[in-house]
Amino acid sequence: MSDAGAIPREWRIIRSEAADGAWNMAVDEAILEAVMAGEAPPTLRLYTWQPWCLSLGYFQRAGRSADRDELARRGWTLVRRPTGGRGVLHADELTYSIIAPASLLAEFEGSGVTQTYLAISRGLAEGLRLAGVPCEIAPERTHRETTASARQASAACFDSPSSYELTAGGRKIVGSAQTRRGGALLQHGSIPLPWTSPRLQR
Amino acid sequence: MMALPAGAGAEMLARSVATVSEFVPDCTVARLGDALVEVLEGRLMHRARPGALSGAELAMAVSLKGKYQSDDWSLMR
Repeated sequence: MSDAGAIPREWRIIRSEAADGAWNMAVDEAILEAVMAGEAPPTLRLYTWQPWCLSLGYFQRAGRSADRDELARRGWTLVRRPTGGRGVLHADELTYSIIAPASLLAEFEGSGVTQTYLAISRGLAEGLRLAGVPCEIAPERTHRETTASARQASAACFDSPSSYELTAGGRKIVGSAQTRRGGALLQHGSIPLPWTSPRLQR
Repeated sequence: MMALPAGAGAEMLARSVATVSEFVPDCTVARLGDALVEVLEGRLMHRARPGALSGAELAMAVSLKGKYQSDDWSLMR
């Protein structure tokens, strides 16, 4: 698709139909592979989940972080994300994924994971504000804070904001994770619409 | 099993999670998506247009789906 070495600058926006967790993760990874190979343009994908699905971060242990029997009883599924981070129950929400050459996003805040994370967070924050949500970007956490937080962390992604994550009313409103492969990045994140606490109760 | 909280666990998680509906009760997935696209088009994406997966991407997604459906997470490596 692209000339050798040339980074396509025109983005593609895909709005996907609701799909199950395995398909959603497979599609994100397929796009990542295609972008990495220079066979697809940088892509913003928006999608939802049907049925509800608990996704775990790549490095989490399913046996420790999820109750498969309980998930099955509720008709929910379990999937492992290609990205890190902690567990997210994907219910009534909008999920975004941004898949692009890392160098394309480096022009905003820098090329590191944290810098590209911040660049994306700035855009998401502005979008949420446009939708009417008074959204803020959490400050960068020091290495000491991050390490201390990791020791105390539960398996749930939304229980505390990390550096540059988005909050509203002092609480986390977008949970995101990023991975990189061959110079391309995949960042996806979950934006809950209603809180589904009653349906989480046993 | 914190990833599937119950009782006090759910209440603790509820206190730490904000939702779009708290601030915009009638917001829908479509409206939120429109707002994100409008802003990201101007901020992150110099040019953008609606698109779809290519045939090659679809074929790859089909081949990858089995890995994500499997209980054997070692396949992810």
